[in-house]
Amino acid sequence: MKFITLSLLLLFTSSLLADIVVIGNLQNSNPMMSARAVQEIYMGRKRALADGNIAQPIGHRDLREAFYTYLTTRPIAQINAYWARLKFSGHRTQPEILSGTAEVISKVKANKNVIAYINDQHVNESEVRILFVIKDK
Amino acid sequence: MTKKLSLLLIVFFLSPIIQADDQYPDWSVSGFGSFGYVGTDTNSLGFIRNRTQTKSATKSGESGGGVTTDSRLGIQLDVDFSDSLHTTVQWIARDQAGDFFEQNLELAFISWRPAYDLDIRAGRLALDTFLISDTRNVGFSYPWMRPPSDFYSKIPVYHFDGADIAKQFSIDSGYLTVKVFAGYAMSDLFGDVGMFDMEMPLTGISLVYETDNWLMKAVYNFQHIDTEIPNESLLGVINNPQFNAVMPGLSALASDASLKDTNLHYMSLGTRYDDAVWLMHAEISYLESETAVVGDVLSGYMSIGRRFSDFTLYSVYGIAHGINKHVDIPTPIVSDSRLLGLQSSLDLAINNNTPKQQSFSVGARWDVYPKIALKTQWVHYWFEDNGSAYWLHLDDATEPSQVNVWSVGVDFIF
Repeated sequence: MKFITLSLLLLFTSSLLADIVVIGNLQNSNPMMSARAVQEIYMGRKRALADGNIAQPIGHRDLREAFYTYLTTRPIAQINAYWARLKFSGHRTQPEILSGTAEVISKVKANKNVIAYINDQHVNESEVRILFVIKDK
Repeated sequence: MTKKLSLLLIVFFLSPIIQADDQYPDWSVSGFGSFGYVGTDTNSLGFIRNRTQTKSATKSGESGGGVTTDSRLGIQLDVDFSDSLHTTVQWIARDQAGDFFEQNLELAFISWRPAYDLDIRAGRLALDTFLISDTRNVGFSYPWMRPPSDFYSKIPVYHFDGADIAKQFSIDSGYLTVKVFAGYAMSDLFGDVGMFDMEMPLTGISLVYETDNWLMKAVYNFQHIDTEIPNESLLGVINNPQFNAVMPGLSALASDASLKDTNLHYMSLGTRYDDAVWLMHAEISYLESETAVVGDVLSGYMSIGRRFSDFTLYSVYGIAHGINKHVDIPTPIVSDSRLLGLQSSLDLAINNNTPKQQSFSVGARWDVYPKIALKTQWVHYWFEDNGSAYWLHLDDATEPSQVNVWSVGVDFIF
């Protein structure tokens, strides 16, 4: 019984403590991204990947808060206010926010300029490329 | 032949869509809104955000404002036709003079990005004159109930039809965006003289430099006004031959009482600092005009806020100071009390159009949910020399020299 409880606990905490990884299409030949490069794209300041192609960032509903907190140290309400300013002035398109990991991976596989973030447990490196890792603290 | 040509043209314009891969067109609908209530302690002056509003907030609420002053609901459709071709349409329900549908169509443009650092947009665009003039309707994006009115009342034009080109440069750890724009603005405005149409070709340039926590912006904007303010009664007096006979030189005042064919120049500098805890906004601008109807105005404000978790407390100081060149009204050649009264009235009508007001605010914002914020703000205004030019004058009573304005509201995005 103790073993089952411990196993369940480990299973539960491991999903909570998992790293977030930024992924791209397998044809994305850009070098690994820096935290700053990821931040600039997800904050709408920069549009291009290192190869000059226009990046198409995708968001993940369940991980969005943790992702932005790591990148900017700002609460999600501030990020929402920031994006409201960019988006409703008509200057930038906010990263599309998808609700399921499978949907996110499918988008990444379909377009070589799409980047996204998912829980590292769902990464299959034969399907997508890891571009940046956010280590859980 | 004509049919073939039309077909070719249609194919040409739709080719970015037809050639796009399966993910296009990709569209999304989003929006923003604010609901608020504004009260004041006077019925002589009506508080408005700017001259686009037909209803004003007062002590009694009888002028219809209060709820409509800060309330608005905006909806936006974004469509990507390819990774370089995009369109945005935004419409806002709000208290607005003129045609409710057309005047509230805030954005309707096509943007083309031939390179990742170059944007070309054409259609209806937001007028980008000050730090947040293109998002002043999006309450959720700023801490206050509304942008500081000492500053933002000055330019009541929200949008124009035209084009802009923006090029981004990477400089050190920041980004510089240089934008030039040109077009034609058609805005319906409302004032003490009633509703009037303001049409003007305009052009300008803006420079924005943004780093991690800082944003700095400089803008120059030129506008040429094509339409007249409806002050026929004033112009009728000025051009009356009988009055000119007893007040020589009176007709020379016509240009000072007219808006048509005059030029406006705006120059502004603004900055914002936001390190996630402290929040600061400051702007200063100078408006130079060629008519006493508008006058020259120096204005500015500074806002400092401090976040405590989900709460933001802030204060704002604002000033709008008209520095009109005084127009001398001819003295009657015969001493008659009625003519002296007319001289005095003309002096008031021509030399009393610029603001001389200051304000101090304290307020709070509470982000109750990631997309919903509650706000409150108290503003104390003072006026010098009947300087309430940004307010509606609701009765003939002596203008108060100080007014308190308080407000509560909720802002949200979806």
